[in-house]
Amino acid sequence: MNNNRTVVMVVVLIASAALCALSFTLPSIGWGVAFPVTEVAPETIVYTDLKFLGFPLYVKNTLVSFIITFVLVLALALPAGAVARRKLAEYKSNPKAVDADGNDVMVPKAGWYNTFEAVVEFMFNLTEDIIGSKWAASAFPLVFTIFFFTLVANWLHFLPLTDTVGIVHCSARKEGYPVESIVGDSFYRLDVRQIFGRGAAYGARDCEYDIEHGYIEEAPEDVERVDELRYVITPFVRTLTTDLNYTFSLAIIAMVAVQIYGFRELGPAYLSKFFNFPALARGPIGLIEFAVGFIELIGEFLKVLSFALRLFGNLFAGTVLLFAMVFLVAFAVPLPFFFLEVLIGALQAVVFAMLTIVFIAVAQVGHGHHDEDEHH
Amino acid sequence: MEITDSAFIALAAGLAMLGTIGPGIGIGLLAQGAMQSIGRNPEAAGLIQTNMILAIALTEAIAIYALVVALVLIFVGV
Repeated sequence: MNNNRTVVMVVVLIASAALCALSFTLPSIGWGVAFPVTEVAPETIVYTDLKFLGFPLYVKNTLVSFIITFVLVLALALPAGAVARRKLAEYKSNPKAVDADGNDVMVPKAGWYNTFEAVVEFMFNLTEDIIGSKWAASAFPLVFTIFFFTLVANWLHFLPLTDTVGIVHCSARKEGYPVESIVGDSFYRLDVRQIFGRGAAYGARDCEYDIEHGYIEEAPEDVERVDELRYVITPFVRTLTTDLNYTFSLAIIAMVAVQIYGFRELGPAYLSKFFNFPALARGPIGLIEFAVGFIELIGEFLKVLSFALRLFGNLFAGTVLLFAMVFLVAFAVPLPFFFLEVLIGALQAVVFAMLTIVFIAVAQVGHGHHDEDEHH
Repeated sequence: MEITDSAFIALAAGLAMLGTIGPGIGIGLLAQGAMQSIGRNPEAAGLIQTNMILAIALTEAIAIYALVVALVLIFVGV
């Protein structure tokens, strides 16, 4: 069993090393590589005719990475959850239950479950420290989901082929590269059209195919000759957290949850934080308090913005940094930056989850406390 | 040398990154305070670290705004 595991690990390591070498290093030694043309908006990889409420539905490359992240999160969390449930059931039926090796069932053993339990425990203690045991158990699933999903999404940077292999197509803008520098190596010619066997050798050096199949809307106007055309790679997979749609959605979910927990703790009195009408009765000072309530209301919306931009900014900048370093020097030099990105990915996931807890804790502190102090 | 629009955009992006000076000083002060506190009271290191990371994240957000402005200038255009 243990021997098998070692073999699997070695094979996986060698395979990832080989894939990394192919995707990052080989092209840099003269086989043709292009610095990816970075765009803030996620790129479209499959255009469809479907519409939703009048908006076209396209498959974006961050959607692909969303699905990968989703599957990975399920694959990592569900087995650990199953083990936890089984252990708990055994413990409940017989507190002195022992496993096959004669150890107490609740004693941790090396392996994935133990690692996962350590992470869960770390996050749970953090949650309990900040909002106390009354709400910790209720808020924890949300907080941990935010943390774990974002962590896996952030670390998708390091999945081989992410951000590097994609569809080669005509650039809609003037930026891009001559086709030789992108498709110099057949590896980089990996293209959905070739996968599905529809032919279209990429020798055709014009944008007609791309326009016909919707990869771009129209050829750039200011290009006069065919050999001036520029091509770009649209990666199949792009790190999920470099998509503002995702970070904003997550921020909105987090802030809505914050409002809900505020309401559940304080009831309707929670609203007096923002619309402090009783304070108006207290004259000029009350007017200032009333205005402060409005500022807090705006603050709630700004928190969404700062949540979303913090995650997006860190990860997008990280992606650009990795592109730049890998492009400049293929070997060894980018390694410290990859390490830095591992740290930043974990840190930003923790920070997002932690700020959600802190904002819940802040929302649960009643405005009434000040009032009571003043009356006495 | 001809001064093009993209030169101005690059300059603007560089200037936007001046906004990271403040958060840089802020994070330095934060870390200084945390280190001193840990030196005085090593038992509270865990709690201090947690709060320090939180405060640094909030401070860093301002630098990130500057970064986002710079990135938008470069990649989206005006």
